[in-house]
Amino acid sequence: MHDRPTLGELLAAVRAYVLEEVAGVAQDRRTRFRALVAANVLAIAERELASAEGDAVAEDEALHALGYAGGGTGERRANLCAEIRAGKFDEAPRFAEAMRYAKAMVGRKLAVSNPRFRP
Amino acid sequence: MNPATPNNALDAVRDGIERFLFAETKRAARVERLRMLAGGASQESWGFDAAFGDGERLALVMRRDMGGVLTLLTLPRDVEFAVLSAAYDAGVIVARPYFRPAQIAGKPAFFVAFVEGETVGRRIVADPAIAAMRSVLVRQLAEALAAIHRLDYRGPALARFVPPNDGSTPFGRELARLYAELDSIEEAHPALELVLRYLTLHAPPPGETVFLHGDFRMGNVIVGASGLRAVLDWEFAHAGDPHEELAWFCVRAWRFGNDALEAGGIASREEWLAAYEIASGRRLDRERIAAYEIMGNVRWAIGALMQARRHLSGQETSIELASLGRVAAEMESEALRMVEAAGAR
Repeated sequence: MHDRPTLGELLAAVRAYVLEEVAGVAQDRRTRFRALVAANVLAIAERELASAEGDAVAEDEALHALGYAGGGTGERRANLCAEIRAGKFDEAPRFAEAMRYAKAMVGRKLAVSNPRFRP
Repeated sequence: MNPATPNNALDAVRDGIERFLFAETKRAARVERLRMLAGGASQESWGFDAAFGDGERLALVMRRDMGGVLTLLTLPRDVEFAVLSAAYDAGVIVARPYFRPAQIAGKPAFFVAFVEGETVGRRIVADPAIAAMRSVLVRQLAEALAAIHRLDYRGPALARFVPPNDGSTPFGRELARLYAELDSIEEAHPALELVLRYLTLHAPPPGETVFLHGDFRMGNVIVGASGLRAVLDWEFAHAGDPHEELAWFCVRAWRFGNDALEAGGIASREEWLAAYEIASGRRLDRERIAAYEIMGNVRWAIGALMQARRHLSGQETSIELASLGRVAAEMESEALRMVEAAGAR
């Protein structure tokens, strides 16, 4: 429905502006630092926009595989947390399954928040 | 002057300090060169010169509250000042405390001497001059930490830090606090739940309890040409296991990218632990260090999430605080990696 620039293109345009015309010309260290933080936040938003759909599907499938089938993703994730705390994953094989889930999800979060991070 | 600080806010701070200095010293003093320094997370640091009528000049730093508290552990300014003063009196390398705790423009604050040097962790670990005196700095840091751990929290100055006599252990109390903080975030974090559960099931047996700085790491020390100049940021001081503090110094985030040197980006883990063992006369248990380092990653993951909440709640709107919400995944990743490595041992 909306005309170009697309959402991703808009974010990229703002990021280029913040980098070149704010960070690039800032007179004091603090302003420059905050502008660089802002540009990084925009880059995160761009990556999330590109991967959000795939991330949602992956989380849904992974929760399903752990045995959380009904309800919204947020609700199922909260149920998983409550059951980990209640000790339902204490036995080694179940704990290993939950570890695999957690590593996969954290890996996806990192791919958006900081793809340069090496585990 | 810092262009990010509106002039009226600056005037209110200057006014507040000048009035406090007069009330405290009964001498008129002008506040000159007032500037906001690179600050901590929940406090502002302001540098200024106090120019007294008789010609005396004091270069000072004011530490003042910002909106909101960082964690459930954060000490109020007047208690932090009492801790800092006790450390100073005991000969720990800290900025000299001045006057009494104050209210400046409506916010709790206190004053210390200005100390020249570098605080930014990222620059310290990358500085070739500091690399050249690495072993000296490591020894100085270990000696400072050993001195802090000798502070008598049963004495009158620090008596409020005596832990509850309810059968709880330092490790158990830290776990309970982290669970409470995680719940306060109101967002489901399976990775953190899993690591906290692992730590609950693998809690080390009760050990020694000493006075802890609580946030002893790169970024909270001033380093100069001759090495350690001051230990900063005492707002998380508490009584606990010395291993907690040694491990916190090794948490990956405080290596500031210099991951090859696991202790604060300036020493190998073993070099750091050995330096502390020599300085303190205490034997450290490496497995206990590992458990506390996993816990340290959870602590900073939750800390980062709580920082983002300060932005989200409107307590303190800031792009830096907002961005911290997305840093937590790095600590989650590191904690998961360490849990897996511990399981493989």
